[in-house]
Amino acid sequence: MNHQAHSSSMAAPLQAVELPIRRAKSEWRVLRFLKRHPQIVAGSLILLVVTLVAIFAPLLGTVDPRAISVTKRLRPPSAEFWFGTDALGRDLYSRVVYGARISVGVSVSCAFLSCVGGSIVGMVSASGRWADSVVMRVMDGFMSIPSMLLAIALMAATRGSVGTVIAAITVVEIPRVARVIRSVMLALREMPFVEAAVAAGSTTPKIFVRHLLPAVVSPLTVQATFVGSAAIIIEASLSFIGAGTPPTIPSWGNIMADGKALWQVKPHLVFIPAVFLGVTILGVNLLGDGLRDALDPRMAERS
Amino acid sequence: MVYYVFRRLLMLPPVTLIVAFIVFGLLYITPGDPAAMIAGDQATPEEVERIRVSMGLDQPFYIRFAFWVWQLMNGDLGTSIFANQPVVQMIGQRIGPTFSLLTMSLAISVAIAVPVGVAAAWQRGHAIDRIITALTVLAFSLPVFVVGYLLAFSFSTSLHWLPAQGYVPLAEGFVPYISHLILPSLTLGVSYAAILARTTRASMLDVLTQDYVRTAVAKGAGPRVILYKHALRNASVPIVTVISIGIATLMGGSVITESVFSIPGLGRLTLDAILHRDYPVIQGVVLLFSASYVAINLITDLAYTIVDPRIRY
Repeated sequence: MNHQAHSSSMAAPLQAVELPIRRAKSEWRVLRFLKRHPQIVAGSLILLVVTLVAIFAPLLGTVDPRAISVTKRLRPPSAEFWFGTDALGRDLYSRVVYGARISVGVSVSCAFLSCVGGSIVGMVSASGRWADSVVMRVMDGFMSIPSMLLAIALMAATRGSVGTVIAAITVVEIPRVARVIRSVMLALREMPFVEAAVAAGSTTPKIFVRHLLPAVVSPLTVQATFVGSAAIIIEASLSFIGAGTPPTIPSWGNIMADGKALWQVKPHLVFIPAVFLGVTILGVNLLGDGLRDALDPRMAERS
Repeated sequence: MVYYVFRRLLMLPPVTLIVAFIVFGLLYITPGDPAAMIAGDQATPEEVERIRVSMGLDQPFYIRFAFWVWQLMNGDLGTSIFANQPVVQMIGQRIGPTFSLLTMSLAISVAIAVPVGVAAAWQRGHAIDRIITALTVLAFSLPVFVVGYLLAFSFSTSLHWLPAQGYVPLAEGFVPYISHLILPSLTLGVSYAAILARTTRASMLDVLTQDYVRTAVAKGAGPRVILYKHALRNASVPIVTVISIGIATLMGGSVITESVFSIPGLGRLTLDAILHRDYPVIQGVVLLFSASYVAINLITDLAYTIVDPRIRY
């Protein structure tokens, strides 16, 4: 818990030290950085648009996504219903727009919670031999269960709601984040500057927060995007098989599940949400790949 | 080597026990009373209580867990709450289609992804490499069921080349068996193949900068010999690792794929079990997949010594 509180306040002083030296050219630096990593630009743009759609869903010409209309069932796309209507006469455009909220919300929450949880577990594990063997065995146990199946089992054990979906995905993803954090920590522990800090009489918590946490920030950022992408896929898959977001709430997986029965006659019922889903995940993956290349020079050299 | 195998085998029970604990713990926290579910709506509280005692549900957690593990070691996964049938028997009836789907998907993915990754590494920076890299990012971004509908729509609904529904056992003829499996296997394998191709490319790029590759080029060896004889062999350890680790993706994805293509396998069994909150069945399936996964990873670790004779345990 302690580390978590400190981690957010750590980034600020670090930047404060670095900024004055580079301020003059900082604008050029940013532009050059973005030009060198077009993936980051493309990914961020896609995510920005999807996030704005999610936030401003009620203002985008939508109607109530749950309003059923028996007389207007299965309409083809038209001026009134941009994407047509589904088997219950609900406006597909509004449903897809509101569906963005679930994907964005689940993705961001899971990325944040998994990173916090994974960092805590990873640091506890790296802090002692005894803790390490116990914690890592438990993590091995979790990772031996295929992630989709563990998520399904967790969802079957709880009542379906957006909260339990987020919790299930977070439980699945924490061991993966924890592993990365642990390995980074173990490598850092052997570094001369850590030895120097120990020799200088720094306390263990202080070493963790001041010397080790900043080094974890960049791998953690990359992990966050991986979790974000996996979370969207798992949520959509769970909802698609009826074990995720409750059917009353429109999510892209749910909309596709609704269209499943009729997809050979009305393929757009399935393919419109599918395009939104695919493009959003692509955005997260592009950002993640770009960040990894930018933050991990060894990987960048290879590609 | 023998010592290493022995040590790894010794590690197996603790990990399996932890998995079993997680899976059992899930049942324990599940809301809803199995005894009341079995007794039905008309049951009196006494009857429910009687069933509860007969099922051992009145015992404390650790006794129930120990009993469950004991049953497990005797090959008993419990009885389905809904179908009132032993879970082992239910799994046995459904395992065929899933096994076919998984092996077929694995074979197709490896057969496509490894050469593609090698080609991308060889043509590094050229058009082919860029196209392949872009395609892998795209493939990795499409959930299994999205790929499933795309393939089913293209090759079945539009082109009528392949059936998009159901499963035909091998006993009823090889051609119908394979034709029903191609689309689901491709669907399931797409994101797996994407990771595999990327790993192959990255690992090959590492190896291709080595001195012995330059020597091979200098002595006039052709690209085929350099890539497949000299480089791929040395680049194979990370590739084999990802082949093995990725099987978890295939196992999870098979549940979704079976739902898209109406294949009566373990996935369908799981979905029905979720619907009926038939927890022993879910436990059984999850446990089976996890145990297979652990076993596969153990075999992979041992396979490293064959792939790369420099590795000795």
